[in-house]
Amino acid sequence: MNPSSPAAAIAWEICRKNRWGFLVVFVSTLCGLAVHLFGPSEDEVLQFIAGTSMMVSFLVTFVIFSYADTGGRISFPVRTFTLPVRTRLLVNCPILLGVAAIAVVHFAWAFLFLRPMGVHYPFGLFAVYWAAAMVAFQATIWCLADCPRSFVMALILEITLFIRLAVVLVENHDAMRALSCLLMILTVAFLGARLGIRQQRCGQWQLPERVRPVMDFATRKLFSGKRPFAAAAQALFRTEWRRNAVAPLISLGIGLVIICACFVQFAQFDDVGEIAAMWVYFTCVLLTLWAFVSGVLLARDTSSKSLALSSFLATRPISSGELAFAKIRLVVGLSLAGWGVYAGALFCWFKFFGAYRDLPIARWDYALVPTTTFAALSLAWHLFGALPLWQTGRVESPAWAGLLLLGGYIVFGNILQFIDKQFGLLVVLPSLLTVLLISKILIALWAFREGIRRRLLSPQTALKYFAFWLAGTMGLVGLASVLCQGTIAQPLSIHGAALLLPLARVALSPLAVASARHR
Amino acid sequence: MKTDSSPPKDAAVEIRNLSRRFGAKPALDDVILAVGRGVVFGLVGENGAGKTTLIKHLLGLLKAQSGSVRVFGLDPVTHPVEVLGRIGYLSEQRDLPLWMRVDELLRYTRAFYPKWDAAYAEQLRDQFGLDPSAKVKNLSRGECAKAGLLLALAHRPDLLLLDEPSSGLDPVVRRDILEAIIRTVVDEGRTVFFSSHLLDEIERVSDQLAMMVNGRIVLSGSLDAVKDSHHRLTLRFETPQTSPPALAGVLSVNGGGREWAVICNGALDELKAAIEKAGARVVDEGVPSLDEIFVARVGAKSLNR
Repeated sequence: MNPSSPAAAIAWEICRKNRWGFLVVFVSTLCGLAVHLFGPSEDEVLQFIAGTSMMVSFLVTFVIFSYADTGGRISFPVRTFTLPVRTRLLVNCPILLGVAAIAVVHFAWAFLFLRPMGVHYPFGLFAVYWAAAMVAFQATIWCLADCPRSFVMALILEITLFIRLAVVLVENHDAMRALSCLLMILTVAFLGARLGIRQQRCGQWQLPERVRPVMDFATRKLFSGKRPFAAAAQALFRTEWRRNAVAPLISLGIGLVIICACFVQFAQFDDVGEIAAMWVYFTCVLLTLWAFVSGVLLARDTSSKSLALSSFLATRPISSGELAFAKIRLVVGLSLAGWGVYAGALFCWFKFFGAYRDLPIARWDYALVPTTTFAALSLAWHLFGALPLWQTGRVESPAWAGLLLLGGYIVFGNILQFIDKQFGLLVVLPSLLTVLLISKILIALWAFREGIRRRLLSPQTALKYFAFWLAGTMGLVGLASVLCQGTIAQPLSIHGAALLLPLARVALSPLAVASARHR
Repeated sequence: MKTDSSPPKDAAVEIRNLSRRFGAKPALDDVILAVGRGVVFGLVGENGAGKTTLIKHLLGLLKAQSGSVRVFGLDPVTHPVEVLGRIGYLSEQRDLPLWMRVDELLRYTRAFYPKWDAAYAEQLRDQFGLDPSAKVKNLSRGECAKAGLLLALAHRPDLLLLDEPSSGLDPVVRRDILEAIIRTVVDEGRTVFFSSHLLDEIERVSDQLAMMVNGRIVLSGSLDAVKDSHHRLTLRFETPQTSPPALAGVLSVNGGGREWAVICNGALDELKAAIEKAGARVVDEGVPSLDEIFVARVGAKSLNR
């Protein structure tokens, strides 16, 4: 096919580049149709398959029409800036195609699957909803390409907002207001995308000139040392810390300060007890989001914005185990620092709410124990996240890694829901957690053995970490059994505590680095 | 034809039957190469010939799919610390940490090399005119190349691996600094292995060279031996020829009618005998430049494909 116009050429490029993606969308939609035509409507397994297919078709459509180059970082294809066409064509074309495609996918599912299955909701309004979501997604990807933290945070906020809007639309309480909100989002996102790309095209998309010298001065004063590093491991850790830990910690601190300030303000007008509990809820959400985003970003190479190991670092005379352990130390350090920041916020909570006499002591337990446990779980789990997977360098872009992880959690949530419906989650959870614990130990033993055999790490390092894990896990298990003594949650919390500290992922980490380093 | 493939004793680099494919495309095809210590070894080849892939194997960044790679007798994949500690590497991509300042970059890199010579590093920084407070991302392409070269040299490596070192350097720096550094390194008994497609540079600096075409080493040996084994001859026929003369050992033919210029490879006496048998006589003969040999070799390979 020979495209006859610039717009046709852009459309052709999207189709050609994403032909497998289109096939996935087509097949998953057919899958939904097949479930409706040939399967019993009340079969939960088939419903699960149809639900997953629908999710896949929407997600892949979003990915296809992100129209982004993914060479290490996501961005609007910069090569198109030198084409002799107006910026509005470069932007409008993928936006219009994206809106059309998502509408087609939406109506296909609505009329081929949902309506015949007896599901009724305002299909027309939802077409606008998906169009707004597509344009907002495109605008976020194109305009925040250079700021991965802001990108992921913006994406998470967008997802939260669109979930809320979906609820409003389904409930049909205030449809007109939701529609105006959607149209406003669509317009703002469209104009934002246009403005952002226009600025990028003329090279003006950067830090304001007045801010730059201040930032330079601050980083120079804060981080520049004069003495040589004592060892390579110290140099690696310090660089990792400066590159991948300082900004997340600052952002966490700012987030907690905002939450504290807001709730202290609200508490003057409303019920103090309610506000204290809300504070706990919002802090938990913030910590989870922060740990999720930071867990991906800390896996970045210190020489680039990519998750792939740069040749600069790969050619330093240091073992893959030491490279991996620099990241592991960073996770430990970031977890401790995160807990420190959180402890500071908790101190503020006590300082402010603890003085109120009408705040029952039970409320303290209600707030303190679950929050602290949740913070510990969230930080330790999410910060390590899927580090060995990112360390293989197969997924280069942090944003794509975040989306992949998000997709993984969604699938995991669906599986848990499925298990719950089929067998009852609380019934099978102890056995499931036991299997996970045994698998974790077996994988760790194999990975440590393989790492030692391939000279990636020393037996002493492996033993030291194993001893640390054993002692830490025993401590956590003891703590969980004491805290939950006599409650129904005791066996589960003991299992959960045993799984909390990473072992298999730590053991796999040197192997992952080696696979990225020696391809 | 390979003029010399016998491995020197105590080789710095030894590659045996190395092959590598990326998908269906062969990047390296049965490469055999040996580089002795204390020499300047130039690797030439057109873009995509496999030079960088070969260098990545020496660094252990790529694993040999078949064959073996040894650097100072060690496998760089299984002994990365020992091998990389003796190598100074300048990447073609110049992928330095852009967010660091030049002094931070030196301080950081120093931590990895016990043999780091701080005074020498400072001397090179002065020589290259690099501002210690400048951010790497604000350096020009040439300055980035200089910074990369500084890092590669400052721990006085036994093997200096330079992947397209001239890329981004202006002619003054290329001639006066790069070549001087290369000679200094070799005079100290160390080895330089560098890839380039600038044949005049290879010709000026190298003691030995290898020529790569489509992932294969088509020629390797000392520079003198390579040049001695190739000849540029001008042939004159009694009657005008409608097609180029078909002679054994001829790599390229140019001309028409009665007079033809050929670049050939082999013993000169045998070539002359064959030329006389074909009804022509040699009216002029000379030593071809490396450039002419390369073009003739690449052209011959392309025709044979």
